[in-house]
Amino acid sequence: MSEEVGPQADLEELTYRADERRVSFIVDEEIYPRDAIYGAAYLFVDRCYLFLGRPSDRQIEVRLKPKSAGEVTDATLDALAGEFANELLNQVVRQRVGDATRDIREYYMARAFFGEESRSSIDALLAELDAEELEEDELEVSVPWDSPAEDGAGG
Amino acid sequence: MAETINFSTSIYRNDAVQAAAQAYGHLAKIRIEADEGNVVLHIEDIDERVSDRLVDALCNHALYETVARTRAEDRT
Repeated sequence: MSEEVGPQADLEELTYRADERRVSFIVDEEIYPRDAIYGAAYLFVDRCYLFLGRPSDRQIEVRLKPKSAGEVTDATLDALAGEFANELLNQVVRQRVGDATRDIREYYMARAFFGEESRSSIDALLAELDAEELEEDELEVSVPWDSPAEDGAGG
Repeated sequence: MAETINFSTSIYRNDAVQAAAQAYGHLAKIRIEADEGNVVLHIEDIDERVSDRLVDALCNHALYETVARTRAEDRT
């Protein structure tokens, strides 16, 4: 995450720059689609001031500045950048899972609302209820002996 | 103090930036210009009470509007 070059410097990382109150980093749209960046940004709008810049094609610069009036330390900015990066990843995964399961979701929704099978099962349940009621009272007329005595009379 | 903000139209929606400018128009003098690939806001005469955060808040507003409007459009 940080700018320091470590033993795994050859791995692509999300490097960031931090000044007194702001942290910024470049996000590659090939890895993190714009919708994922929007999704993460949307979740941070209440905590941070955000600005998205376009340094070059397929790259978006994310600038984050905490809204809190208190002291902003390097650790705060470091944590903020890390949280945002995690949320970016989360958004990408959500999108991919959403895309991968779209067809099956639509299928189940359509089947639940319009499928013949679901309608017949509801009809069967209703018929079952009717049958039970009919077994108890063929006429389905309320009779006084079924209701509790109100005046204390009776045998 | 005057400020200039460049909103890339490949990220921010034009109508979202305009909505943000309109929302904060009572706190500063805001002029909108369309540059190639950018919507540029020139901000002057910022109300002293909010001068430390108006630009940041306006940028947030533009981003929020962009995301909200894009999502609303995707749903229809």
